[in-house]
Amino acid sequence: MSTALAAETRKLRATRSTGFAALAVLGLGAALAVANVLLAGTGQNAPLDEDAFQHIVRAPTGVLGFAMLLLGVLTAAGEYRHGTIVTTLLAQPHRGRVAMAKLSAVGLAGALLAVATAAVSAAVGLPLLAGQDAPAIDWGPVPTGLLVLVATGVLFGTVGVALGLLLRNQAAALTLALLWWFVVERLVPVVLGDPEANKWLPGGAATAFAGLGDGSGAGPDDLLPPWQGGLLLTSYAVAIAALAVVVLRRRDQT
Amino acid sequence: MTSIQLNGLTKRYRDVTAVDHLTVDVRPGAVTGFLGPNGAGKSTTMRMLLGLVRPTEGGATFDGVRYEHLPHPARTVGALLDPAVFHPGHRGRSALRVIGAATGVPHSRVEEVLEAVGLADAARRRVGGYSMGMRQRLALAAALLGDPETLVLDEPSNGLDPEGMRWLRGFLRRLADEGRTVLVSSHVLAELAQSVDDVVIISRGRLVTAGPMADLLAGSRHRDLEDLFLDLTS
Repeated sequence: MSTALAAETRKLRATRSTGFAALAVLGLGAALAVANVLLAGTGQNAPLDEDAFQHIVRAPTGVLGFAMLLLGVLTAAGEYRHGTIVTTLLAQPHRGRVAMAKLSAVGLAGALLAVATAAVSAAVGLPLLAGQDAPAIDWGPVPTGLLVLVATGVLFGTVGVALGLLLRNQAAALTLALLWWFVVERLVPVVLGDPEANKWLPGGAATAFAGLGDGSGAGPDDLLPPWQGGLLLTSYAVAIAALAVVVLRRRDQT
Repeated sequence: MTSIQLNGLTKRYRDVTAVDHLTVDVRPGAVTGFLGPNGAGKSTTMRMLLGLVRPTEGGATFDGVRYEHLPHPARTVGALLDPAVFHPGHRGRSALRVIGAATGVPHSRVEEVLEAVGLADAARRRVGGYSMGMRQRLALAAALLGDPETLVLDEPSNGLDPEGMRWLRGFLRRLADEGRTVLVSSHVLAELAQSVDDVVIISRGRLVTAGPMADLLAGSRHRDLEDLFLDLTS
């Protein structure tokens, strides 16, 4: 297992898309921190309050989730696109271990990127806040914000890898993820005639989870409580990852 | 010294039988040519041997052990199935290091195999910019990374120019002379005739003939390998 994991982390490091994804998330994290501080109190934006810093930490959550989904898909389906899956399976014929190593490597990358993003947000946001006439920072909800960020990086990375392994085609996997997020999640409540139906779907669960520990930004009423959202999102990620492991183990590599 | 055994190896896809009860022994210390027309089942056989495709019946082993049960598969068997197995964004050296990391091979071995296949000078370039022949050499380097006793090479001469062909011939000879088992598939018969000791010929998934090439030619009216092959497979 450890050799397989070492090989997967090395692959991630040697691939340029990892660097691009990381730079994009860190850059957007910094930009969101600047926007959060400088645009506060303008237009419809709330003025700076004691929750400003936790909102800066949470701001890149969506971007990070999307970037990790993308990286997971690129990493896993990329093996099929470039034919490297053959070398991978020759080096490690135990396919369950290959799948677990890939899921772990990308999950780990998601956690690291989340921490790095939070560090950049803090490095940019704290001096800016100090320069504004803002109320003292309430540090209470910051750790939960960081937890949401890390969990989002890990879970979306995992889902990306699973989708990539299952579909073996980068474009197909990304299209499916985007269709799901922007179309299926919106259609299901309409089709079922139940406006609250999507709280049980991955997107609804992720949105609910994003509000964990954020007392100031109570989520919409039609979502699950944040911790239940987190549990549901984790269950979805584990289920699709397990499916990917089973399929990879049974599939002929022609 | 490892030999390869195919034992009633069979693969059926719905109503197509790609490989049909193939039983063959491949001995160490020799280059064995694995021949057959396109679609004869050569690649499927090699993929079953390497645990990539699951046999419907029978089995393929290295000294009685299936590939996925070898303690160090990539250090026991070196395989080349397709030269397009490298991420185009990786540099030659890092592509091999990725594979080396998966098999527990030190960086110094990467340099040795780069040298052995004549790619040391191109190791810093990205694989995307390699010619077909260079990719083939890199794929051979990858097969040699674990210093394996057995080599399974699917069409290794594809994309090689005449000089590369001659190089490959000498290379396979040296590997066999070192006592390794070398199974090499090809459709370039004239090329193989100069470098193989034994041949295994299959057609439509079935074994046509197998044995030392000299014996097969001596006991028949055929002038050369091509003559023998075309007569037996047509």
